[in-house]
Amino acid sequence: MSYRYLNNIALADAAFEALGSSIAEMFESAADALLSIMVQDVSSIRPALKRTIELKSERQGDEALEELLYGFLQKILYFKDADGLLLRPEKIKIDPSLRSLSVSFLGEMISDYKKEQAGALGADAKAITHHKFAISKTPQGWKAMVVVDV
Amino acid sequence: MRENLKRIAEAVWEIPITYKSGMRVPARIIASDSLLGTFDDAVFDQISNVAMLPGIVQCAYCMPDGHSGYGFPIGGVAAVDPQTGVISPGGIGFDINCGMRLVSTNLAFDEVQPRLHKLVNLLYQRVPAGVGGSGFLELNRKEFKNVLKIGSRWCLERGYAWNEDLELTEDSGCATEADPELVSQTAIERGIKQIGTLGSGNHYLEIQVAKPENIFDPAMARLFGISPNQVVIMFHCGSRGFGHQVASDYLQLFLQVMQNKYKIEIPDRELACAPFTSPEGQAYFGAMKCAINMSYVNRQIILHQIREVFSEVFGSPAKELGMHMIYDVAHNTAKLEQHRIEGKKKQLLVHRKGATRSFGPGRPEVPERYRAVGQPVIIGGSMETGSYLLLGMESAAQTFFSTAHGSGRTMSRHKAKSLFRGRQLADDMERRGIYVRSTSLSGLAEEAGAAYKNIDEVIHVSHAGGLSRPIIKFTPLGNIKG
Repeated sequence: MSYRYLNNIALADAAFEALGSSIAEMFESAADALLSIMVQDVSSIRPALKRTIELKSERQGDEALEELLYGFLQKILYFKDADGLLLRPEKIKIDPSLRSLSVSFLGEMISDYKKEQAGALGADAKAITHHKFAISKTPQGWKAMVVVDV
Repeated sequence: MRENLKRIAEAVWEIPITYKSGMRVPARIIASDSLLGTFDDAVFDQISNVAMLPGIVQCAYCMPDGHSGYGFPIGGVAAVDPQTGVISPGGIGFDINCGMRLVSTNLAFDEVQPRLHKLVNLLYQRVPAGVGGSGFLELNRKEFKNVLKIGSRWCLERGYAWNEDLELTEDSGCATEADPELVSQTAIERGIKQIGTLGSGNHYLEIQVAKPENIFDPAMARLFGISPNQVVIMFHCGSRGFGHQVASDYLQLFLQVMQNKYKIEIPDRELACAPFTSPEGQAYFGAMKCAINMSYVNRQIILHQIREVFSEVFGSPAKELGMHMIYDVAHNTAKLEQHRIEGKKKQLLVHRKGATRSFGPGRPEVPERYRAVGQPVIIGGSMETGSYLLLGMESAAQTFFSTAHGSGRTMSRHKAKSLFRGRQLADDMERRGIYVRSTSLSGLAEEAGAAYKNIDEVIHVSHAGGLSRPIIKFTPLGNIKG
């Protein structure tokens, strides 16, 4: 599981490449890359609360998988704003059709995190953009390219 | 690409219509020789893509603080004919109605300086900043929808605004015909707790001073109620998670209909658009206005909190401290406005993404007290360098009365984080007389002054280009960042 930020894609925002040997692992990497914009160290998020989601796509092939990744990352932003939660995926189950997935997340309230980790928040991610958004198969597994509006 | 730029005036560079297939109008960049070098290459590609939007009129423009974004560059301006043209969420940005508010005080630097830490610390408590972040208002959905519909009037009715505040806010603090039924539940859930919060990134709240040497037009400064060494408060924020979700929702919708239904070919998904008069275009326009109103209310509630803090620290009511609003101006919007095209008056839909409206004298949209001199323009610099109050100029008609909105980044956030350390930056700033509080040390590093263009040069070019003229430069004393 790994990711790296890219310097020359989005000057005022954040662009990253997320890798994984499987699709689920690539999704996990993308979640950690997104969360790493908002906190200095994702492993410092304590697993105090659980949330689960299910997502489906009506599209076909690559487009379905892209829609699922987009929806999955948007959910992290949703929980951040609507419920004040920082959540990391615990378990990601992708349906063999590659058109639906279920995810359980673990995390904690931002207000609790702030008390424990003064100054350790990062920048607020506003939206997942469609700019250069792509998923590709690589010899080692899977790769996603994501640009986040900050 | 740069070899294709043609200089057509001292501060205006043109990318000809022949540069790229599909361009409907030329693209123009407002820059000096030295500033032109600060634009990253993607700006030229992006602004020439903007020139492909159906219905675009005259030219696509990029302001002197421009840099690459996605879809539109930051600093991008496009006016389209609403009858034949499109509306594009990418021409407005995810942070709908992100903008600036400037508030005066009758306090001098010497009075504020001894209480600076107390003021900043209390503001830091009362104006939530940073990731997520919820405000003190607890609204049910019905009440939140009322906020979306009536904007700043909601604050007036509940004692969070003075009458004059509304008059001094763009649109009088309310975009009319906002329709809350056009926004998703997700958007409402993301925004309902966030009124009165600053956000993060380049959003800030600053206590600033007008040093005598930085008042460039004393007569105009007096009109704004500013005298030498006077302290003001400036802040920068937008429509928070609510606006971000409205933009995301409609971008998705437009992507579905742009090619399939409306047969529009645009080379960038972030430039997704729909005809302005189409059901989708009108729905976005009505939803976007909700985000515009949410943002006005957000800034109004923040102003209320600022007044309470100053009142507490100085032991006087805010009115006695002269805490009048100077102006509130947006820089991420699309608005229907009257402009002259080839001598004829025409209604246009002007997209401004990271660009400030800059009306010259006489426009009915400008509050009566400023109408004879022009519209106030507020341009925020980096936290280390200072910010400006300017006036719109008649000659800004060339850019549909638009000017810069900030300094403009030249370095990625990631690179800034690798070069600077937040704690050290805060200590250095304190030695230079700027006390900063932030939820994020890494966020501070990302906002280092060296990650931005030179604000003085941006302002100089905006003046030389005839877009806006500087009245006062404000120097930061205290800063709150998310």
